[in-house]
Amino acid sequence: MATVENAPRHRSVGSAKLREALVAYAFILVPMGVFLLFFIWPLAYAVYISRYDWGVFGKIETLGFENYRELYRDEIFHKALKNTLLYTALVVPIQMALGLAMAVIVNAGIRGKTFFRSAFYFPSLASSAAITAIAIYILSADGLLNAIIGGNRPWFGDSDTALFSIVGLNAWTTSGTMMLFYLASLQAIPTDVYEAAAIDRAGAWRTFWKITFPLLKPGHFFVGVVSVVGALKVFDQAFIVSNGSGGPNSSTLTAVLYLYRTAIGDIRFGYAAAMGIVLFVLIFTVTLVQRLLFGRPDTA
Amino acid sequence: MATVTFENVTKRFDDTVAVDELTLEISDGEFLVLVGPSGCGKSTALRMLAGLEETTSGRILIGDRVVNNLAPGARDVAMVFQSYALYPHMTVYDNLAFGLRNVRTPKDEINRRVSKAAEVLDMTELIKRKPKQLSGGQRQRVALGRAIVRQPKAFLMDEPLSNLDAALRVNTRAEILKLQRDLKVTTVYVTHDQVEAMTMGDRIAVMKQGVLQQAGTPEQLYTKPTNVFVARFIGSPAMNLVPAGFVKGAGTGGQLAGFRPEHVVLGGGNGDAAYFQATVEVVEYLGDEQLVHLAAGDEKLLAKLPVEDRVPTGVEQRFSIPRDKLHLFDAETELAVRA
Repeated sequence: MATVENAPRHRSVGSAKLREALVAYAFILVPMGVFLLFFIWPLAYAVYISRYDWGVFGKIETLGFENYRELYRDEIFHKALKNTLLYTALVVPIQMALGLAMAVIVNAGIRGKTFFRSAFYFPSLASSAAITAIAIYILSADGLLNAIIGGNRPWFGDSDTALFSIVGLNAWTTSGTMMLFYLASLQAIPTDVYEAAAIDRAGAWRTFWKITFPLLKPGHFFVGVVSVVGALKVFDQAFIVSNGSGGPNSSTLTAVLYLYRTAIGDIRFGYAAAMGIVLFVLIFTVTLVQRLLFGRPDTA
Repeated sequence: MATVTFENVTKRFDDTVAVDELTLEISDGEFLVLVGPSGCGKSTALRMLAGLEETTSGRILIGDRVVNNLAPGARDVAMVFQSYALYPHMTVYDNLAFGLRNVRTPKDEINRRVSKAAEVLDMTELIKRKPKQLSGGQRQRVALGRAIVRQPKAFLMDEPLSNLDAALRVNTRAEILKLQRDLKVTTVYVTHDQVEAMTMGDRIAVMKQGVLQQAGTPEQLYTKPTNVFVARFIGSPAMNLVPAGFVKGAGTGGQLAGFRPEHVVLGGGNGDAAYFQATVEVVEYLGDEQLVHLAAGDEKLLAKLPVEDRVPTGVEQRFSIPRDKLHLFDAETELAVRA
């Protein structure tokens, strides 16, 4: 009897839940549509065209996996990949360390921290083209840096220093953004844990390494992923300092710059798409590994 | 172990006076409870003692040493926080060992002390777990363990039981007391719960709006409250307070008469007892006794009577209070008037 009486109520609860779910899906629909149209569709399309010789007017010849086999043999691609990995290996730790150091400075109760916060973040706000143009001037043979250290090396023009100069430039411009991420993460650490550490006689250095640093695990993960993905996709600075050539001597040729040159310069869309897919798989794998290593935060 | 002394300690936050001229001496090995409603300054006083807040004026001493300008770590006190404040990324062992490692205690000694604390607190099994794998009660034990391994001069406890459920709170209360009696470490314990204060403290200091109202043994506070606030705050249910004229044979005009519900007697009122007439409104049966809500004109009163007393609702009856259980207060200053 009770079941029969309760039945309509159950149905109305169910339909309310369904209505709520439908409203939620309606809200998700628009961003999901954008995501499908501008991300998933191009990705799927890239996979599709990577199996063809593809020109401006479309399909020229079916190649199967030939583009991928060519990539495997392509020494310029290897060089570009090597440059990108070297760049990533250098720029990511520097960016993270700088970002963390700046976040710790502006998070401490120092005078003028608002000024420091703005000053540190400013390079991230400016357009990368403008900042790169300034860097080209500062690092040229007769530029400011050489005037200060008394040398005459064209930093971007010398194949020994060009990639490292881009590393320095990007570490400077992006560490402000990393600082913001770290700052949010730092402020999520409860103050009473620091108070407990202070009463437990931990000095500033030990507090940083034993409390702050490990409790920033979610921050490290997020900043690490953003930083690695950004580094593996490096393009604009390399493009500007080398006039699109990746020179001198392919020393600033990054994977995305080579992809761009192949697609726009050589009009080989299929081959460039294969490159894009390889790069996507690389980034995806690195992100997964990072997630496995740092993905789970410790919360009490 | 050491004495703890507050000498005219004041703490101001901008225009707000959180603690006002607090003077209080806590003996070596004593368990002192700072109690009062929220915002009364008890936690601020404790945090100043810990070094987590600076004092605006006055001196704080631990033993003979003025600690006002010492960092928290240099004061040699251990604190148990309301939130426990465990290190979430460390195991129970590391949580306990952290304070010892910070002062380069030899490994064997750390091991010995941590194992001992784990044994005392019955958490040897939990030693390798992280805080998120523990229940509220277990976390509370770890927080206590972290304090005892340090062997500090004083334990500071900031409402350590308030996150536990009622049953666990009663058990842990007894455990903390036993621990403190065994270790004989000077303890300052902050709570807003007067039952906790009465059951745990060697002495209790009652605070209100930053001002110390009275410090004394639980018995002193219960039997001789210095003012209306303490009289109402200590004891459960709270003391009845009425104009003295309301109780026949109590005080004079301009005074308040106070009496505890448990001291009200049905009938009587001859010789050594004061009395009043009131109507029974509601009776709450508690099993071993009954809580009787009374009304007389505008006055609402409470009496705790034996279950044998017949108190039908709606009937006006005479109730009395033994004269030695009657408290008188000046109606204006609210201070106790002693005979």
